[in-house]
Amino acid sequence: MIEAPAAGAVPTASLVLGNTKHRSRIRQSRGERIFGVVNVVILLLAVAITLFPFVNVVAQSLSSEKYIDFGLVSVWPRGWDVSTYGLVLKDPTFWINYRNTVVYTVVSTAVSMVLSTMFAYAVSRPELKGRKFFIGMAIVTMLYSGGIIPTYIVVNKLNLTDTIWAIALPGAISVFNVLVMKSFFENLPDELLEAAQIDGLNTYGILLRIVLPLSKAVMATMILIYAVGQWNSWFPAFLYMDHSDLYPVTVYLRNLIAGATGAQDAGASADGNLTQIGANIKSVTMVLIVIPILFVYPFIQRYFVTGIMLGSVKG
Amino acid sequence: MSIKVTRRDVLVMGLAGAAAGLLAGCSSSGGTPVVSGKTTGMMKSYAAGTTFKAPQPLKFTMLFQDNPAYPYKKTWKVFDQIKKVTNVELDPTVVPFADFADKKSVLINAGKAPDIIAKTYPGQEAPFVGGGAVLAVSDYTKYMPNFTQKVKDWNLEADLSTIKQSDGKFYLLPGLHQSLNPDYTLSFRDDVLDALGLKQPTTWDEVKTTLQAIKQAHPGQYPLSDRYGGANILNIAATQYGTMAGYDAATSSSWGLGNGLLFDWTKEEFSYTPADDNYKALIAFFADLVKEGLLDPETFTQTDDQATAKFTTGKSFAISTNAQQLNLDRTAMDKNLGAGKYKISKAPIPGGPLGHRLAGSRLENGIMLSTSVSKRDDFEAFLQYVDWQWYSDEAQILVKWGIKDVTYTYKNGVYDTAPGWKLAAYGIGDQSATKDIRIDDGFSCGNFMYGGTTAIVESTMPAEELAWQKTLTSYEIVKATPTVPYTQVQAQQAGLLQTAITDSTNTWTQNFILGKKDVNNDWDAYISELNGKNLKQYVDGANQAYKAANKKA
Repeated sequence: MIEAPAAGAVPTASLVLGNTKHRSRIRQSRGERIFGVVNVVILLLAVAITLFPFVNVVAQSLSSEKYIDFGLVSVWPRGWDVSTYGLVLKDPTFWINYRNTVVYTVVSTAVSMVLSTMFAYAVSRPELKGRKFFIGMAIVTMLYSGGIIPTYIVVNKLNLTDTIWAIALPGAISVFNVLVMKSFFENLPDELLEAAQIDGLNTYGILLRIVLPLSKAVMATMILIYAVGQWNSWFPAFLYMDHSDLYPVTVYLRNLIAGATGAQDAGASADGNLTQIGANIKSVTMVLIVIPILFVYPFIQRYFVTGIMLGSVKG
Repeated sequence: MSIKVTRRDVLVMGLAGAAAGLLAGCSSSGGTPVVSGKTTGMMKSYAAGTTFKAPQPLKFTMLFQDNPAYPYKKTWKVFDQIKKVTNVELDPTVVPFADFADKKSVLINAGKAPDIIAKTYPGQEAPFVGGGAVLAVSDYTKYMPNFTQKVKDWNLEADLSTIKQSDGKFYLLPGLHQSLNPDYTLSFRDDVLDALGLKQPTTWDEVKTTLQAIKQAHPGQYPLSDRYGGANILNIAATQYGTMAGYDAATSSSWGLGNGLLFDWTKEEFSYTPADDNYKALIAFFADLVKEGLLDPETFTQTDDQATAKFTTGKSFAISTNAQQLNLDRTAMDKNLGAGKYKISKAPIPGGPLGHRLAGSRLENGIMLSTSVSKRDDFEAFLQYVDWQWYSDEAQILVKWGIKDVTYTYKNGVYDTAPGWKLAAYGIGDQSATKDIRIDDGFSCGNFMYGGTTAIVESTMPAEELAWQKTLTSYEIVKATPTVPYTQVQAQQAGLLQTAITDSTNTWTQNFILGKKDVNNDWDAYISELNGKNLKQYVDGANQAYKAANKKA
């Protein structure tokens, strides 16, 4: 095995830009050092800007409502209060919707991965006839979509509404992801695949035994992208599901937030639909929804860094 | 069998056909559709006051709004009880409160709308009229004895004319109110007023002097910092000034401004009221409030939560409110300031140059019916059921209070929750009771409850609110402005003009009030900007549409 730098130590960005790590052994010029400092400062600022709203939500979720009303909660919780967590965790609808999110994410990520891999691998092979046509067709869907209502009619007529397939199938293939996978597959050495063919593997054998084991990196990345997208998505579920026990937890959260600020109905009637849901409850729900993905992220990310190293080494 | 099919029907079928791969329809001229032959499950002798009970089980679908304050539960008794009384099973399509309008629109346009489309405010039906998926209910109200009787007894003809579309028909079955029950007004920190020896103001001039007195006692603070993007104060004051105003930029929701077209019932014509002197006087008044530091300029940009937080933490002393909001504020203030350390209530709606007036329609949000039902064999039974469910007193009490002597009691004209039950949203019943008739069983929720007799509407009002409503009896009621009955093409043209014109009005209004422009010196520039945006064409278009539709009807 060729020596590779310790996986954990390599920042992801350098993988994209090409491996620049070895340069650190050479003494840096003054210009480089100034660039480094400026770079770090700018990136730290960006981190602070992105992190602050999140930290603020976490702090609010642990504070008592009173301090939030007075506008005193920023980074640290004030008036420590975790009773709202108990309240949200006791809501059965929250758990039903949470379970749905997990199921939808797992199933539709699996569906997406199978379909995207097959598509990307097929169009990555130069011997495929009409390859350009299939790629072109896929790209057309990137530029033009069917629109909400026609898409809804199609899904409805296929009897997919109120089933998990309404969520898993219509958006199963992300063309952008397919293109990334395709170029990854194209970069695998032809010799390797030819050797496999000579050794008697058929197309599926080559894909399953040779290509996929070499593509862990891109697979992990795609799983992450699909899963995070699905975890956060709410619109397809909102559109295609007609029963609240089929909603993912994102729709639950959205309803909670909109219920608190929905002034659209106001003014027209006094039928008692104005509701106010405490900032505290909103932030608790947000934190609870974000936690799993937050924990999964670093693990998968680490894995795919290793994966990319493996791929490059074998190549 | 004779089934007349209108041109509108053909359009719907064309749409549905394109979707389904079916194509059906034949054409005949307009006229009232005939319902005969669709009598499955109908009652032979159904009249106002009769309980609707289908001789055979019927099933209808319904678009149902799921509110986070009372989330839909399958176990709700309200559906069981309706089935028990009427033999009708309702199958709800549950749509979250957030984005309800979007899903409603997709379902209707995709030809998949449920039979009953709940929670539609007057005006919201207009975009669906041209598509034909929504039933022209005015053709069928003669099969709806409760509806017809209420319209007649309560003189609602004029109110109903406000929802007529270009073909002279209406497509929405609105909630009907016997009396006008406004809810929005101002609330003051009454304890602060007491300390200064002041009374709640009853006119806008008194509002100004009251705020001045508060400002004197608490310099450095804005006495009035409003929520709803300042739209409510402008809206309620506009009525007293004889104009229309109020647009919440933060939520893009129009309160009183609407399309800006005010109808003059004597001249029978529309004019663009934000260009007239009444509007100018109104804006000048609020510009003064900001200039003197009485009205927080952030009113127009802050979120409702921010404004509420200022009021409930004692940073401001007056705010727009309604009965429910008042209770929510009290809960917040108990926590923030301490119970007993403050006093708030709804102040009377302040009068203005034209006296004490109330504007508003006695139509509330209501339901639309899907055109597809009119082709079913149980169509007449459906109409009877809808009439009973939404317009009979019996049904309105059922959906509001539930089951007599189980969830509620009725003694000496007073409704109350039964022992062990409460209705927390209105503070009714023993608040320590474990069961809530709304949250646990779905009664008193917004999908069924629209309007009704004064007695039914007031039955859930707390004593404090009833007393406040009494203060309004002496107010003059302003006749409602009709919706402009545009045809579909006209509506599109007017929509483009309206957006440009009202945008310009909203920008200038804010600049005038915030003092960036001077009401007296810059008014002409504002008017010429409006004229540059084809104001005349916009107003003329509305008047032509009105004349054309009323000739037809």
